[in-house]
Amino acid sequence: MKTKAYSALEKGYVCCRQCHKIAVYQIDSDYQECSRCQSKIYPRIPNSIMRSWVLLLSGFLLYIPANILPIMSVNKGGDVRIDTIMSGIIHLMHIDMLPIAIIVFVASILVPLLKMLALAWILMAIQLKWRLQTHGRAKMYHMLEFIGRWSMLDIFVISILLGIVKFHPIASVDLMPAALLFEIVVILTMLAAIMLDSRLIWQEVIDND
Amino acid sequence: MTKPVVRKRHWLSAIWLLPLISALLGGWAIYQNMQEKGIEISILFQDAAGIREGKTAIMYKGVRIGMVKKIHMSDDFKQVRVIAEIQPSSMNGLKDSTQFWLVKPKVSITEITGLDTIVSGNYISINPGKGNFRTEFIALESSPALDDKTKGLYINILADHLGSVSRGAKVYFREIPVGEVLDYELAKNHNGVVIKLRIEQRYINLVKKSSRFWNASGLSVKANLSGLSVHMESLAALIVGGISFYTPDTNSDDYAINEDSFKLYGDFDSAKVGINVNIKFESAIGLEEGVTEVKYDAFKIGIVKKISYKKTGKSVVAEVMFDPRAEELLKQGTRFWLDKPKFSLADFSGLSSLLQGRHIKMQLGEGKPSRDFKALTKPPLILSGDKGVHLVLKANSLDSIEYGSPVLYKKIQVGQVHDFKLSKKGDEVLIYVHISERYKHLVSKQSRFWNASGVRVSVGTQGLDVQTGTVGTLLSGGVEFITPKLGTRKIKNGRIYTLYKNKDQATDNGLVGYSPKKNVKIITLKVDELGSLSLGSKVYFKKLPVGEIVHYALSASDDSITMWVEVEAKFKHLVKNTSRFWRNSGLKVEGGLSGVKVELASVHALLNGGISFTNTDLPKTSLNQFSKRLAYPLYASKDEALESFKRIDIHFSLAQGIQAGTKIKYLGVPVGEVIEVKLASNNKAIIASAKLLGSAMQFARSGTQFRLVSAQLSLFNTKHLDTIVTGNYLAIEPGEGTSQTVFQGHLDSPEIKHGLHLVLKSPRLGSIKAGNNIYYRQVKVGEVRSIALASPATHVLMDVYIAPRYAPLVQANSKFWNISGIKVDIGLFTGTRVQAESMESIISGGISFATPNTYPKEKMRSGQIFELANEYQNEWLGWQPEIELQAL
Repeated sequence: MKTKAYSALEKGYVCCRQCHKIAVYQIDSDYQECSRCQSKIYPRIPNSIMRSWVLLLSGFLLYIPANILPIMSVNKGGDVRIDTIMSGIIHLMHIDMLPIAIIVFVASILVPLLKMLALAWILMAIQLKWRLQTHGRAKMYHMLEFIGRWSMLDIFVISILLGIVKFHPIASVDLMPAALLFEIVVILTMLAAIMLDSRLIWQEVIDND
Repeated sequence: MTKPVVRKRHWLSAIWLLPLISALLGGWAIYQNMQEKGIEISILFQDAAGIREGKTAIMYKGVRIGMVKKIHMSDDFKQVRVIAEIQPSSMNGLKDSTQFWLVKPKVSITEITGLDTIVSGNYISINPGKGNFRTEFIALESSPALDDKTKGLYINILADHLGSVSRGAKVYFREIPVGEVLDYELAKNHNGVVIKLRIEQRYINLVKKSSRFWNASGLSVKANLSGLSVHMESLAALIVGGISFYTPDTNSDDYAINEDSFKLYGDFDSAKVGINVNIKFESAIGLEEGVTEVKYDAFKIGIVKKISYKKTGKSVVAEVMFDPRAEELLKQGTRFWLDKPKFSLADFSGLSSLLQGRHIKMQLGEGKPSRDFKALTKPPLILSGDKGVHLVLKANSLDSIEYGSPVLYKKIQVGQVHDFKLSKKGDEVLIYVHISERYKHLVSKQSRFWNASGVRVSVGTQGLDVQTGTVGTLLSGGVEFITPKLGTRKIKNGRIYTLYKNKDQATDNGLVGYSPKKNVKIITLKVDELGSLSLGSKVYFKKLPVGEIVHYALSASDDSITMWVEVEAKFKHLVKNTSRFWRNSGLKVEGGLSGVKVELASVHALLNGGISFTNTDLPKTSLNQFSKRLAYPLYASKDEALESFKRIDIHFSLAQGIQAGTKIKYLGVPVGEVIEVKLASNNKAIIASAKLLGSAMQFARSGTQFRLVSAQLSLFNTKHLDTIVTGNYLAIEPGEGTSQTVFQGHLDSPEIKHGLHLVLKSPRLGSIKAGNNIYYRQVKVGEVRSIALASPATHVLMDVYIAPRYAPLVQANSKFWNISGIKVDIGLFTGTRVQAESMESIISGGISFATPNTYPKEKMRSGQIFELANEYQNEWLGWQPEIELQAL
């Protein structure tokens, strides 16, 4: 026997996104405040899809120069190397550090790219109401959450190097513009993921049931 | 109910700005990056060693403005084309006359440059130029030397040849670098070299038109016996060369200006200016061109430039160049002489020349300015104006008297020896003496002169300012005189006196000129021989001088000598009938391993000899009647005088190690000594006659044992090592019997060793030798006594001795092994391990043993046989049996 499932909204409830207090949805009110934490309560984040798209697009636009431009310069005893992300990975491979090259590749190229692609796919799926993929959407979203936490790895490595390798003029690591761009990409994609109201992913599942 | 106000929000318009900003930001970053791509230039190098693609930077004033991108050969394959990228911001530096050169580290004595390149690698330096923009350049082979942008004084130096002056060599003023050599080139007519200098801006006032430059390169050494002249500007100049200059002290403000030319002199001396003066010397001995200096007081004011012979050949003329400031000193009356070192202690006058080389000294005179002088043959003695009186002394030999030796009266210098020569016959020496005006009344007809060898004028330590006996001959002499009665008549110049050899002779052993002081007590002493005593020798009471010998004479009645001793009035009471006199030995040294004890009567007595006396309880010595005075005998030593010793005879069976002088010690303190060793009347023993001194006399009683102590060197019993140095001695073990003077001595027999004797058996001897040590836990407990082949000769037997204390360590199941040499383990994973028991065992070999934790607890008997293993087993090292050592 199958029982119909209701969403809270259908029953007239909304949940505070901050403190998760359930409140009665005041459908007429333009503006509802959580009685506990005073944050705004929406049934769904307004314009979630649109905002997410915009942030994602901005991130993607910056992702291209972030990969083309040099990300850091390493000065080893006067021997200055300027590397883009990819040239750094290739260099690592050349000096027989394949495992590290793979880690950098995954963290710096694969993860941000996959993240953006996954987010784009989810957004498309929601907007175009691809019915069949509702189950896949959830999976994709979980993956997004999982890989998202590694997206700062590259910046982390650079900032550590920057901090500890400061032996002018023997050895030093300096930031190049791509590092900043890359950082912005990471932040933008994180914001894009936050802006996406995850409830929209399975909204249709409920709607269709 | 009011309808909610529906407000349309324009999210779209606001949020879509974000991608726009992103796009702009990204685009701008890419644009910036493209902008930073610099201008490619090519530089032709002769040699690209040290330049690396992508590594070598192009620097200007320490800032990186470009980077070498590629290196390839030039088209004709003779040069290297370096393609470099220059930052766009530095584009303005790329002009026709821009210079590029490679900077490598350069460490030289004058400078260290490019040191940063050691760390950062070589780099290409750029010196921006003027003209039109261009991108093709030819590199300089080295950094451009002529850095004429720096402020300073640029002058030229004309030299005959370059010498060792090099680019970058410093220009010194008073040995401080004030500039540098920029460049050099051949003079236009090829007859010299033009050296370009730059003087630093802050030093340009040092250079005047009158400045003199000389080549300060290297080291100039002029050495010979009369002196050493070393001239070196600085270590840097020694190696890379340099130019020095000085500016004579003139008041003109004629400063040099840029492009002024100066002559370069070959060395410091030839650059000098001064006053040339000719000084005529009798011989050139001691004069050296360019070395011998002229000193006034302690100042060097001139130097001998040239020495030339007069045509007559009888004298030499030294051309001396004086400091211009010496102008006022060069007057007619000025006298010069060559200062020679004198090795006499009476006169240190020339000592400075011993250290500084011979030099010419001068004494100022009056008169008109002069440039020609005649040197004196010896230092001027008397200041002009002191008339005094001149006397002649006749002597058999000159002895140590020399020019300038003092003439003394009561130890005060009153005159000087100013000349001496042989008499016409050649059998006597005539010594010319000058007595100063203020002292000339001291000389009378009766005056007696003697050679006061060893009188030193210096009033210094008491011991050295007196007339001396033996030591005195070392010291240089003088003439002393005494005048018994001052005459009223004036002594004429040239009066001849005899110079006696010593005071004793001069004064007839003290009679002449002796006038007893009031209240003094005269006593007489009877002496066998004079020894080191002489007139003036002091008489001491408790080391305090209380009188002196004033006269001595051979006794008329016997062969003894009678001395008159004058005892000062205030000490008169000290001399009593019971007084005993003895000769001061002066220096008495008792040495031993424990230190040296020096006993000195006084320095005076050491040099002069002396007599001491004291009052004793001993019976009066017989006093001879002589000259109506009592005569005391003079004993040879204090001990004799005080009879503070006792003679004993010690009988020994053997005289080995006993001889006259062998000390007798009680508790290590010498209390006596053997006087002689003789055979006993039965010829079967020897008798050592000895004396016991002072309080040790009480040991002369029955029961006292005398034992010969000599060095014992053995493994566990090294004793009395001091006797190797100090000789054997007799030790006293006091007895308590009645007084006795004949004793039986003992020759100590060596201690018998009660240790354990074992036999070790080994197929081979290895490096074991007799005398090798036996170790237990690396502690030496015994030694290998002897080694022998077993019979039949299947193995080697070693006789091993274990000291009694350690004998219990050896048990029936003990294991012995050879620890000789080093054991080296080389393993792939463990590395190298070197094992050796001890340094001694590496060199000389040894045997170690261990006893298991459980052992039979039996006492081993000597003669037990053990196997000697070649190596230990690790288990043996772990054994830790608890074995009580034998009590000592």
